[in-house]
Amino acid sequence: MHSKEWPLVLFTVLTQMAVGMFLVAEAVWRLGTRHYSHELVDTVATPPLILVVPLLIAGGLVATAHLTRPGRALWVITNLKSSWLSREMLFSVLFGLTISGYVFMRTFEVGSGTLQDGLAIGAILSGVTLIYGMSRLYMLRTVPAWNTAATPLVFFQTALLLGVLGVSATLAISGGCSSEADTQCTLIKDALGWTVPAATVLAGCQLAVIALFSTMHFNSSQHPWLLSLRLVLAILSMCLLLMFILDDNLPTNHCASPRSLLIAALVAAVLAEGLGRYLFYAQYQRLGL
Amino acid sequence: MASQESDNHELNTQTVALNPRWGFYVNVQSCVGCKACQVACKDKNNLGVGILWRKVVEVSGGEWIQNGPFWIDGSFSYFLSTACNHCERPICKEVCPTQAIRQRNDGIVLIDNTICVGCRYCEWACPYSAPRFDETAKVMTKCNLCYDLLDQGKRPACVSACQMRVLEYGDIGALRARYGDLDDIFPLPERKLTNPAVTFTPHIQVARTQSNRACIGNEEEI
Amino acid sequence: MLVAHIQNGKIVQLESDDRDYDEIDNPRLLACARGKAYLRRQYHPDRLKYPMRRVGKRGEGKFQRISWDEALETVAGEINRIKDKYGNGALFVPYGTGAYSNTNGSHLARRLFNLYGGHLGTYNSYSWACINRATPTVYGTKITGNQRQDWVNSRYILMWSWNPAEMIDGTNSAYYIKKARENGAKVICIDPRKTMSAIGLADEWIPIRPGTDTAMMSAMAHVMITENLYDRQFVSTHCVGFDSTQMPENLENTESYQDYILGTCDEVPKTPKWAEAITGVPANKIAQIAREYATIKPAMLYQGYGMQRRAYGEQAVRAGCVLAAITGNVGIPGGWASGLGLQTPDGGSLWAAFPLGTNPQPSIPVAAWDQAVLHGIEMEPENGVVGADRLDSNIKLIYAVATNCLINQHMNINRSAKILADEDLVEYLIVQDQFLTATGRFADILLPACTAFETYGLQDGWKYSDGVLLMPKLEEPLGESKSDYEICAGIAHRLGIGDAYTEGRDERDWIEHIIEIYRQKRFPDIPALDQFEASNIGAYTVSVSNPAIAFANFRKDPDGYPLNTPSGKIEIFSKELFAMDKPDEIPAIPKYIQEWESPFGPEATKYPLQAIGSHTLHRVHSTHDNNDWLDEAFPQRIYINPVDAAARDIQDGGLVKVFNARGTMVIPCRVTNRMMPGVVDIPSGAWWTPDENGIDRRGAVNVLTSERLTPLAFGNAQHTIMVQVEIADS
Repeated sequence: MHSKEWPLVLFTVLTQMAVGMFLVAEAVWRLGTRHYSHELVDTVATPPLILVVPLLIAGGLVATAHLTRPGRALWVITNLKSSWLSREMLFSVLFGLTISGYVFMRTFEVGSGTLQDGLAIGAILSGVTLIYGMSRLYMLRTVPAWNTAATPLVFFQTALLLGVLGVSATLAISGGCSSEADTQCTLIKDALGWTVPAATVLAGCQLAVIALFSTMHFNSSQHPWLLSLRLVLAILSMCLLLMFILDDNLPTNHCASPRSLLIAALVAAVLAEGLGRYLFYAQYQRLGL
Repeated sequence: MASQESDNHELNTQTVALNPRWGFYVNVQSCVGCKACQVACKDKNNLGVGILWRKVVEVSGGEWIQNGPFWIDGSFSYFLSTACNHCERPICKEVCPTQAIRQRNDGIVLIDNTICVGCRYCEWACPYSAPRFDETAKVMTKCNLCYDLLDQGKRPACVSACQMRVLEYGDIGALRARYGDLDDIFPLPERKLTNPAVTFTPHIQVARTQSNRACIGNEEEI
Repeated sequence: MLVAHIQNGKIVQLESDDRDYDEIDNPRLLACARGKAYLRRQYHPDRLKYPMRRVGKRGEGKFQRISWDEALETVAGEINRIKDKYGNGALFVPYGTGAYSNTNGSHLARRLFNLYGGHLGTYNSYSWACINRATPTVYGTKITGNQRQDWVNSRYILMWSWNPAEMIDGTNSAYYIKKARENGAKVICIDPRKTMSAIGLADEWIPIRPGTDTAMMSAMAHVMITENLYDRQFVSTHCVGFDSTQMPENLENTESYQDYILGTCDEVPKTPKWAEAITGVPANKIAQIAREYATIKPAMLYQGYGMQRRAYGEQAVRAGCVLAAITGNVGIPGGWASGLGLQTPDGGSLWAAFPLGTNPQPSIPVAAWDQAVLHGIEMEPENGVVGADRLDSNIKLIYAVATNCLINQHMNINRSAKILADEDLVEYLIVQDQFLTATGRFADILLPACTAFETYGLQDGWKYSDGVLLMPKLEEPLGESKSDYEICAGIAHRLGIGDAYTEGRDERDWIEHIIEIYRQKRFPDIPALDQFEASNIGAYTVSVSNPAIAFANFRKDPDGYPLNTPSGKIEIFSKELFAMDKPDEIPAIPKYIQEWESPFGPEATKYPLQAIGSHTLHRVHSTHDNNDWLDEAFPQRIYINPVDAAARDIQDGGLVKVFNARGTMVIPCRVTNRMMPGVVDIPSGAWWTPDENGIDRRGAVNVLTSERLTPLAFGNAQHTIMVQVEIADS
């Protein structure tokens, strides 16, 4: 598997980020619409939702390229009976379909609210199942380093961290902050008010995961430099988030330098997760021959 | 280059009368590691370099110990010829997303290379390194126990080639009854993972498993 | 034996002997990995397909296609030119075993030259020069072997430098040892390498420093003598020279074997402690092996040939024979007399039965061809010349058939390459082969030979021959290639001796004729060719259920059936050798002599590691080096012990530089417990592949070896070399 790690890193991290962004954007939308108009919430919550689709497509392309006989790709969902890879593929397709439909309806404002809600629920279920299935795929009884509860934990942690950071950064970028749009500013502030602390907590979780894996010492000792780099990036990401929270100017002016803080935190976290996933693959050590 | 294009057609033509459950036996004690089995397999199945359906693992362990001006040999070595063990619980079949891997009633696990997408997931899972990727055909391949020869009542190519007569095949129940049921000799994993249809006589110098820092001595050859 | 499956005129699979019968009197003849992988050679894209002449400098490897007519005309012309100018003694056919099937092989060229007035002949072989020469000094014959089926009667087997699992030594030899073990024999392997035989056939491996076998054997004799374990009765009735009571007339005061062992004359008793320091084998281990070998009866001390391709290889051969004699293991079932071990009663294989004619010219040791090129006219019997007091000419024309010996398998490749590159020395070099080998690169003309699948052939097995293999023609020769026979016949026609050469026969006719020779000499019931071919059995084998025992009559009645030695007995002391008057290098009793390159000599400071070139299953000498399936199975590596590797910061798999004053190679290494510390192994036969700096990149062990020959046999001593190993950057 050695030469094939990077495509798999890309596929899993991108897909998980997509699911995570969808879940968080959906939460922003649901919470926002309690206090603000649908139209206003749409202006801030739809851009991150739309981003989910290209992320998924990118991941899907990498995954297909990874198949050596892409022409036969349809066969891969025929062993649902026992293969988690089949199941993962099925959930990917389901998530892709539901999320695309949902994004389409939200963007072009078509379809009834019930249909949209239905699709959203479908996307939530298939997204969560997809991440679970993805983790089960690695839980082979012949690969003890992967066959632990840590695998699904890590995969969900990645999804939520990158999801919440992705949404936060998109909010900060997409939200215009002119004086005419005071309500939008407030909305974004409200949203960031919970997404950023959540991201900070999840970034803390990332550190915990690193610590956990270092003590589990599977093969991470083979790549001390990558491990250190990952640690630095994770800490950096968390520090940037803390700076954002602690910055006194934030409530009044979250639109200039704080924006770059969030983007930088996202980039650092994506890199850290990518490295983490690479190290995860590097732990591959099969029983037997 | 693997020539098993017709595996899927054979899946239905199973021998029902005798109902053997095929497996291998190796007398590791007297295996000299000559690889006649490995090469015979390549010849029979026309396998390119890098595709080893049967391979011979050189196990090595212990160490040389200094005793004054001399070095005393405290090492051990043995050869383990191994292929697909046509497991009772074939994990390759279990994880294959396409159902390209199937098992005949006589236990032979086959890859239908007209369906395989080459995802190599079985390669990750199999604890015997049995599935091998064919870079030319872009599909997985593996030992098919020469079912074409078995169906004609002949020996598999590797067994037929064994110069030391230490490699045998037969109904795994009969082989176990005759030679015992040792199937987890180092570096092979515990039986419970996949229930392999194989049994061994161990080498004189080694009991079981990983004692004395056993390791694989010819990683690049397998 | 190979069973070819043919589809549309091409061989698609090579099965082996598929008979059901597999008892030890006549077991299945199962091919090794090399035979099974033969199709990768047969259909290799690099096969030579048409004749070519050299266009660049000699050795550069640049050639241009020519027609067969031009090729044969040119070759015949050069043979005539050299013959006219220098005489027949300037023509030479080097040692070659790359093909061995009666109608393919170097003997085809020997017949050609013999019919044309002769050529500088050869004796010895690169394989077994010392054992071939030294065995008769003890036993008066080379036929010292019981039939192989008797091995299962042995209770104790010392595989001394013998590795039947890898060098095979006759199809099924390793299998017979396995059978002996199943019968209760204890098997010990004495070798610097933990060979495949040591792992799969032996109960115990005794690593021994190369070139010190005679020291260990002497110490074993010391234990047997001092503990009174030797067969006193047999020694007194069947041997001479054991102790002072057995010395020849007028030599009563000369050092006897016992004198040497006990240190009576040199004051050095050859104790296990003494041998321990030399051999690296612990004294108690030597004593244990001595006691076991002397007391477990019957026992075999089987001598392999690796230990005699060394500086004083003759000594180890004689010492082993002496141990077999003083333990009384000669002439009994389950015993073994040691020495060359050709099979009793008739010597076994005929090898090539194809008639060679007679050669009126003198002969030299095969491994002395380089001397005959450089200064043949100075060579005398002192240098190994047989049949003349002095050679008439240097070698001026070489007709190399089925051989990679000139460059690759001869000692000191860099030196050989210089010699052959000089067109004033060898004026014309014809190479006839299936591939452009390292030797072929030096050819003036390249003649493409077909493989054994492409013409008729017949071969007995190795020296333990209980049958013959028929090799029918299975497909047409590739491209324009021809059998060695057809090529030589073509040259013969142009020399005007065509009819004498062919006697009107084609390849198949010759095989028919040769089967008749086998019928007369060895196998009265062998079927005629038509019947042989029609039955499609491939091999004619005879069942041996009552194996013959060498020296059985001599044992029963030494006076009635004396040996062919001067004394008629087993000569522990040889008057013949004594008369040579070179006691330091050719002692009359077997003695341990420190080798000319040794870990105990001054050379060890610069080159501290001993290097051997084992026989690998990858190749038959250098044949199959370009076979990818075999390279995959047995990649070319230098094997080094972890202790020596750690001292040099060498990691398993890393590139290392191996060198001494004669040459340098850079190859990957394998760090393995299977080598003893202080010794490295570079399996022999890899094709010399020098880079622009002359550094070999493939691992041809002969860039390191020395051309110095052994004193008595004039044998090659290729395993006697010291080297240094370092990490290589690139």
